[in-house]
Amino acid sequence: MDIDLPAYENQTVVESYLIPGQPFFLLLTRSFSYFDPFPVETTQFLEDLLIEGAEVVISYGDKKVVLAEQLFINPFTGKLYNYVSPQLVPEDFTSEFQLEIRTKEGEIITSTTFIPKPIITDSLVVEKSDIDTLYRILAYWTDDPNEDNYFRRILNIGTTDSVYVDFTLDDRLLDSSKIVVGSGFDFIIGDTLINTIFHVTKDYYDFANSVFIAESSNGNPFSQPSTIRSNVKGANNPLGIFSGITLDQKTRVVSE
Amino acid sequence: MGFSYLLGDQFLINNEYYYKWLNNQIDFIDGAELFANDNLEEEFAFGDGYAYGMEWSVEKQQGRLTGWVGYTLALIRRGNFRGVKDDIMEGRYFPPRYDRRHDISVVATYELNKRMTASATWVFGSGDLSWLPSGRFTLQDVQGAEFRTVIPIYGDRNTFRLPDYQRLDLGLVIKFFPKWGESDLTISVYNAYDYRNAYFVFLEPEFRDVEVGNEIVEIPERIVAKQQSLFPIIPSVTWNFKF
Repeated sequence: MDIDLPAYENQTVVESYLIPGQPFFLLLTRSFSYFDPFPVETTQFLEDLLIEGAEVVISYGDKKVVLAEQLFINPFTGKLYNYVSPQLVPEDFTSEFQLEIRTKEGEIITSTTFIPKPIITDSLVVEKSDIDTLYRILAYWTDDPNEDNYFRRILNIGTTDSVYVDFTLDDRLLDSSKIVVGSGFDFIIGDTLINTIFHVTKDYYDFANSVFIAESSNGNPFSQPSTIRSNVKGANNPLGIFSGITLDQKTRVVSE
Repeated sequence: MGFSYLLGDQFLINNEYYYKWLNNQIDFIDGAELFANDNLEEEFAFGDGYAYGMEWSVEKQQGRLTGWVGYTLALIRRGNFRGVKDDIMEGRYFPPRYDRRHDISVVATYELNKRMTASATWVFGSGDLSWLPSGRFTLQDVQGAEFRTVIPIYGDRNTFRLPDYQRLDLGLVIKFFPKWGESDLTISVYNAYDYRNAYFVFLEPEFRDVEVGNEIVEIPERIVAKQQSLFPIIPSVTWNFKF
């Protein structure tokens, strides 16, 4: 059917994750009207998507890090960014980071974040089913019951391109300091399981959940859609997330 | 407030106007978390609203042909929703899904003879409102997460009106007069001209296959709107009896 959606003005979208020990990087893109056509060629797609000519600065303490405009693909994650600095995110800075972006149109976007405490997977246990030859994986880590903490767990199979499970969780329902998450008995001997636990900020937790809900609401008349909960601010209503993240990634090959 | 007027001895004309204040309205905040939530009350917001409108009807009460024609013009707004965790639309007023602007009803019953009565009902109304996204963005996300090309951006609530709703129902009642009691046969058709009213609309990307190296990758080509309808034409036969 043909329909007319409400009028929409493009918004600037910011994506930047501060991971200790990794470079400062940021992806600056634009949003589109829902029915705007997708470009046929990849180069055209990137050209339409990426925002050029912005000044990006991340400050912490008395330091200022200027991110240069440069297409950069993280060799470890395969993620693409268009603003990057070779300086590494400090591993021991506990105060606030500030982001300021000035686009060439004069839009100013700001945000703040901090780095959550490091997270360590206590153990990754592979268990065999009692009734067949399938296996499951359990991940254990320790939570600080004196703080409100937010996590994300992603389990990939084979490579990080194949997602088996991906969810966020917080510690409000926990009454102990041990967290364990598992999987179904879905794996066979030889499967490579990549388990990543992220310790995220509440801003990121809210953002990720709002994205999950927005995606899942389309086509479901009984769901409650969500606006995107961004933590970036600007006069033209930008979207996105600027957040510190710590993570622990462990790989296990299923064996007898 | 309204008035009624009997035109001749067959036609009754009714006209009413109303204004309602709505208090203690409740709604979910954006992205309400409903599962495994000890503090469910934080997912609600409370507000108020108002509704006003006008109703016209003409009713024929006597003769073999009876029935009525009615028209309603109405508007509803709810807002000022404040919650523990969040407000809705910064407290601004917005229409609920059931804000039906125009509503027309035509009901007719014709006594063919002492045994058979035919009936027809036709309803027409503005479509319900729906909360559809107006924009989309691309999200790369953290390592290990999927790259997503279409994340919907939802703006103000209920800004899209579904197509108009219409339906014709027909019925025929045949009475029997058996010695052992009473019985009648009702033959009816719900949605007689099989109009597919939209229950909800959803937006779906269509993909095309592109060869990248040695792999075939799905790339979104465009987004299309589709509707889901509930009830097509539904005939039925009912036999009622009493003894």
